[in-house]
Amino acid sequence: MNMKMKRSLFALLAATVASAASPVVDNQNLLESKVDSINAKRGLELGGSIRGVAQATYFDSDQDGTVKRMMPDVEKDEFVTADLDFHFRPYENVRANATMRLEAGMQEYFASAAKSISVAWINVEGNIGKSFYWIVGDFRQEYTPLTLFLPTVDIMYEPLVFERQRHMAQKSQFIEGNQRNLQGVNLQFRMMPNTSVGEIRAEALMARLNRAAVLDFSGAEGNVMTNAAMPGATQASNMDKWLAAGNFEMLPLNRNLYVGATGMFIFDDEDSFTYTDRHEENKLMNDYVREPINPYDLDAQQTLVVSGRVGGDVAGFLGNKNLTLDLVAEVAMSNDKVYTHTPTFVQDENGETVPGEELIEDSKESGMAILATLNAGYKTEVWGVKLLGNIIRNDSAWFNNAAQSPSFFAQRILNTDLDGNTVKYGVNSPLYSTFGALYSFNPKFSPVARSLGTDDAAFEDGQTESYNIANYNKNSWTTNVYGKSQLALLETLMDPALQMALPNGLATSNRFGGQGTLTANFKDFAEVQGLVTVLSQVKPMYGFEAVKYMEYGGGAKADIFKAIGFSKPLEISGSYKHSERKADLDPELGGAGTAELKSDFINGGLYVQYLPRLGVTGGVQLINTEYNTIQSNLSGLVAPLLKSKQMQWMVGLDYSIEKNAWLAVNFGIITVSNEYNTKALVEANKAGEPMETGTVKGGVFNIPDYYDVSKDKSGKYKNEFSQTIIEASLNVEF
Amino acid sequence: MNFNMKNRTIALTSALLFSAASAFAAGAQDSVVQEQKSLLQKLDSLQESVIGLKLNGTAKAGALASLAKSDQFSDDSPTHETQAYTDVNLLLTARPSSETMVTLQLRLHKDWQSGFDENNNPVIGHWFSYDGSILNKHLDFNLGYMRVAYTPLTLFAPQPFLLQEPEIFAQERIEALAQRNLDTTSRRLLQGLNVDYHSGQLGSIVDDVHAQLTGARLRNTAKKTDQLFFDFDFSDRYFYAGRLGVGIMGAKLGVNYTDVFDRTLSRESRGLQSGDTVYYEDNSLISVELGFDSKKLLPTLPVTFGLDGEFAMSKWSAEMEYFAAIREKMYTIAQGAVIDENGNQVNTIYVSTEDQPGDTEYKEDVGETDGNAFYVTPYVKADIAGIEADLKATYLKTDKDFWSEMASAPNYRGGSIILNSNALYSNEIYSSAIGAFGMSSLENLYLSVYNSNPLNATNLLTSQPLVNALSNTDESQYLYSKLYNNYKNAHFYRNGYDAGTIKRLELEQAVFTLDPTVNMALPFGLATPDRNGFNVSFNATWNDAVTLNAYFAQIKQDSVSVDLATGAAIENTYTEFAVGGNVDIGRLANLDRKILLQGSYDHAEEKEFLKRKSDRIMGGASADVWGPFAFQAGIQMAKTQFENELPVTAFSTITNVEEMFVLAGPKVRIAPNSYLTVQYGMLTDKMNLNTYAIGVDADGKETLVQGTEEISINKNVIIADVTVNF
Repeated sequence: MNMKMKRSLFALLAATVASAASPVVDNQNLLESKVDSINAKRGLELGGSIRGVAQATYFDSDQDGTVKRMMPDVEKDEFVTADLDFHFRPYENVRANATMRLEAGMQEYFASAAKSISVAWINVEGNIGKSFYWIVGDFRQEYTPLTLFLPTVDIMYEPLVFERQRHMAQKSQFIEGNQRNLQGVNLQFRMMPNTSVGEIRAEALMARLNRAAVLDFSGAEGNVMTNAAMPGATQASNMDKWLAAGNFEMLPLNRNLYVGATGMFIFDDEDSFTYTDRHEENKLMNDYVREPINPYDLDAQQTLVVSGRVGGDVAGFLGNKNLTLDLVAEVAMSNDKVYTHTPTFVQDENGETVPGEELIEDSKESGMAILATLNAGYKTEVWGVKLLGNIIRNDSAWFNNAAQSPSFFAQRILNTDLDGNTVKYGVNSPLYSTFGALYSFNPKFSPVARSLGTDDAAFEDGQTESYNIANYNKNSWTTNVYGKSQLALLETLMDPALQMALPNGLATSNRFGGQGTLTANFKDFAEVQGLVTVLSQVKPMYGFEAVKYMEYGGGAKADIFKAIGFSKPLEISGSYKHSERKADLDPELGGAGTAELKSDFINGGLYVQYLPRLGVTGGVQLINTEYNTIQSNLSGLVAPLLKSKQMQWMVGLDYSIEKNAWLAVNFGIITVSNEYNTKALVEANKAGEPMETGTVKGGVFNIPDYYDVSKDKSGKYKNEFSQTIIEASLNVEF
Repeated sequence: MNFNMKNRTIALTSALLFSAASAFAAGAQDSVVQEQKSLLQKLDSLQESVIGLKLNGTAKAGALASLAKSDQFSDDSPTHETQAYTDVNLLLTARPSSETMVTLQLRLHKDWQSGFDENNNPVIGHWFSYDGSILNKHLDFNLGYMRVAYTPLTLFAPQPFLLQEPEIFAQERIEALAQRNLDTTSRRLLQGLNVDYHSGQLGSIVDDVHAQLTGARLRNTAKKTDQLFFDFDFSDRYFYAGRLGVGIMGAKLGVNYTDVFDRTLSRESRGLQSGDTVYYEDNSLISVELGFDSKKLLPTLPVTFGLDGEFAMSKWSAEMEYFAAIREKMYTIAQGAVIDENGNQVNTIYVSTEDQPGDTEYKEDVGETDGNAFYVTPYVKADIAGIEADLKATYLKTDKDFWSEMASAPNYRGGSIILNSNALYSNEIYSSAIGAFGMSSLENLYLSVYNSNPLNATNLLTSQPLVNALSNTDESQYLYSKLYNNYKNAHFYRNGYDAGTIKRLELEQAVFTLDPTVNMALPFGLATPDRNGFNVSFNATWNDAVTLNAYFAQIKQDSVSVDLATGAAIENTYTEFAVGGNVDIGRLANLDRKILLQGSYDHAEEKEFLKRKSDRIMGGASADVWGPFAFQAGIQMAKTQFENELPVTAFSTITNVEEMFVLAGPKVRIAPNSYLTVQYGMLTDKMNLNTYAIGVDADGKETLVQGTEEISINKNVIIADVTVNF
């Protein structure tokens, strides 16, 4: 009986023969807890968000006539996600927060499988006085771009119709700006004794970045590369990985000067190294073997990062409110334990040479990173201009995974049932599109088995190399803190159209150069922007003499109706950005020539409101990427990519209540045309050994299964396909 | 949400706070206690009369790190295990009227990490019930989850006997119990319906007429063949019970009836396969209870006396159903040829016999037994000159064949490895002994682990496909095609407590795994079969500041085992004694804070069978130091000897177990009923084993080689957490 149960919870000690505390103290505790409990009704707040998407994508390619397609070429993702935030404030200085995620797939035939309630976020927090704040459980934190940071992808003047899709995809992953989502203890102290001392901030946190827990290698989640026996492939950790950090900042002279220092230690607790028993190669007929939870990443991380920074707000000193002029310089050092594994060979009892135990040696590797940021600008009531400049110099040995783990890891999202075996290769999968990766998501996707039938045997045959036939979350956005080998693997899976120059944000290692963005506005209805990035690798990759990055572009947006005095907006926007990487082969190693990778990204957007809250949105995006012969051969693929043209357009009607509350119905088409060098396939066919495409085996996973070598005369193959999208979305944040 | 109540509750809260403050200013502590009690009643009635939906609960976040060390660990064994978690127990109560209430408890748990996405970390429904007190509070009912007890021989949950358990340990135990939805009372956790009627005073003679009906489902059959969960059985098992009672002038008379049975038909939803055996058990019981308390008749006397007694008759029966392969002779007429006496080949016909395999389902009785049990507890209580004392004696006698399932199964089971369960041992003797015996008593009593882990091939149990889930627990050949993409989590326990009841035949297999250091003489409470003896307990408290406890028991068991030579039953005698006490120095010295010291020693031993001897000594301190800072500490040492070795595996036995647990640390009150706790603990566990192996003697003959081993594991435990009640 619950009433009694609750009472007994408080009276438990008395119920045992154990204790006989003073009745006054007991009663006092009871009294306070009851008063407190009544207070809790006062301190309850509810918040949250509701997101609903009904989206159908129709895949089409004129080239797939030769293949009898067994898998559906239409994907319908329909879901509603409600995040309910409970904030309990039983007393002035403590709070408990919990977010429950309620998910429903839109069908009613068998309801239970489609609905779930999960725990998305829980913590307790509080404050002591007005200066000290603590939080235990889930929290977000960002220090600086070189210390603790979540690097993201910038798209200049992204059309509203796409920006909203990205907003939903990111929110679905609980991403807030550049803050990293962590779980642990976070302490913050803020004080401003007087204006000359300014503000003092002292912060410390301890978070567990990973725990020794078994994950399946075959799952879509928990793996960077499913079913791949290589370092970085699985995110399962052999050891508990911890982050301990302290941050101190002072803003003296009325907050116009800035001095800061951060120390961070990321380490694996080696004494927690745990083993598990598995059937060898995931085959039941094989015996169980005891092996590390993650047999591909055995090395314990030990990384120390220290950072110091100074800055000044010149405009603040001058007291000029029209002027922006501040400069911050940060120097960070990392000291990381690195390992070399040397295979050894021994003679067995028969005198044969067999592999022996690996020889593992470790040493410390230090790296430095420098970041100087300038903010300069001037504004009047009519116009304004501002310049944001960053200069970086990050050593190749600079390493800090708490700042380098990117928030965008390009995934195959739309029509994944079609190339299920190869979707794990992300950007290298045959039907990848940048737009699908950036803008689409499904928090609870139910894949189709690759064989017909619903019995166990059919299900076994129906498994893919990229995921189990079970629900998973399709989303390229993440706040995972990756390990070193995972980051190395991610580097090979970056989308060059989005992440070429600084894939790991301003903390990307091995970069030297600058980045500048100049923005000018006229009143609040017109803005233009120009961007230039020039970077080079501090220590060129092996085999190259020099590696250089260049980005430039510009864009503008204007609200035409506002300019002519209408109350409702008619916004147009457009941007162009060119990114390129040039890598000169090292002549000392016998190389000659330059590997070139170029990509152009064009955006055009329109938003017009014709009735209160009712509007039309439209957007078009184009991406052209080109690889020269040397660059394409660097991929190591049998049939490397030479050119990729991607276009997406979308138009829609929307009903906007406020910035993040809308109902929209959109229609759009993504078209992709990828040209590959297929000489090796043609030659293999001529030699009577045709190679299978669209499968994991044989290294031709990037060419679709409908590729027909008999029609390939030139050794160049153009894969063209389109995805037609019909989408209705609802987003409400309250 | 009861938003419209906001203003009113604020006003009431202020008034109550003011009242409480003035009460403390009043002076004399007795009157303070009285006023506090009155306030508590007001608050209770205030809470209970608020109609609408309420949200309360507890949030706890922190870490428990266990740093283990043992010479018996292998070189590559993990030695650190850290639980780092946030856990919320959300309590939703809805009152459609002031008389009834719906209660829903949800458990939210996250284990800290941000290295990979955890997508579906489910919210677990921990408690669902609809409770009420209707008909002018004469009829209480519970539907759904409930905790119910009748009498010690009928429906009851025996609790471990831990005299003067230090507060710091008691809190840990309460937490471990709560994870399993249990508490420290003797009420049994059930799911079903309970209706309880009390007439109240009728005229001047009848104190109360009482009637109660209870029904619950204890187990149910597995609903899926491909996944084996831990809380299913091969058939549904139901419990129903009723009781009637009347109280007259302080005396009471009651009749209780309970019945537990397996619903045979529910097994038939799955076909039996060759090799399967299923047992069905039925256990019914009728008891008469009698009691008297002088308080009613002689309310002004400082001394009260009384008596409680019960006589019960039990009936137990079991049958088994199994599927076995048989071989039948098949006779057929065949044609052949023989050589006759003249040497010619002639045709003939003959009868051919052939073995024909076949499977048959059998059902047969395993046994049926009846038994009686009886106990009587006279007591006397006194409240003189600030001293409250009670003296209680119990005489009990239970037959060998007495069986009361619903009163027997203790919630504390022990035998688990709670911390560092992933440790690896340097040889098979150690790992199998620890695997079978588990870690010892203290780790099981006080520590618990609760995780939410992604479902994967190592924790997703699957059975053979297309075969029933009865006894075939092999892995499914489709295991790897039934994985969940690491997408879905499930909650996992490592806990020494269990809410389930145990059937008699199961208990015969499990009897060795029950922790012998608690309740050696009466492991199933007063319902323990085959016991005959008495116990006496004495407790005295002076001014709520000094407490003394003493306990003695001597109980016989007629037949603990059989003498292999003579076939005669071996009699066993259990002797237990315990003394303990506590002193609240703060109260003695009239300080406004608690400074409580506790201590106890208990000893239990048996004369025959395993000849176990168990000693437990514990001491503790809880002190309010300054303002919100308090300090708690506890030490407990337990030792169990098995003079006749306890077999744990085929090649090892346990002879001696010694344990110690020290736990201490500050407790800081950060808000009313919200605490920051930091504790350091040291847990040592030492086991002595005898080992047996087949060796070869000097003559080359096989011989039994005996050896000894010691397993010694030390664990440094660090607990740091924040608890917020809301």
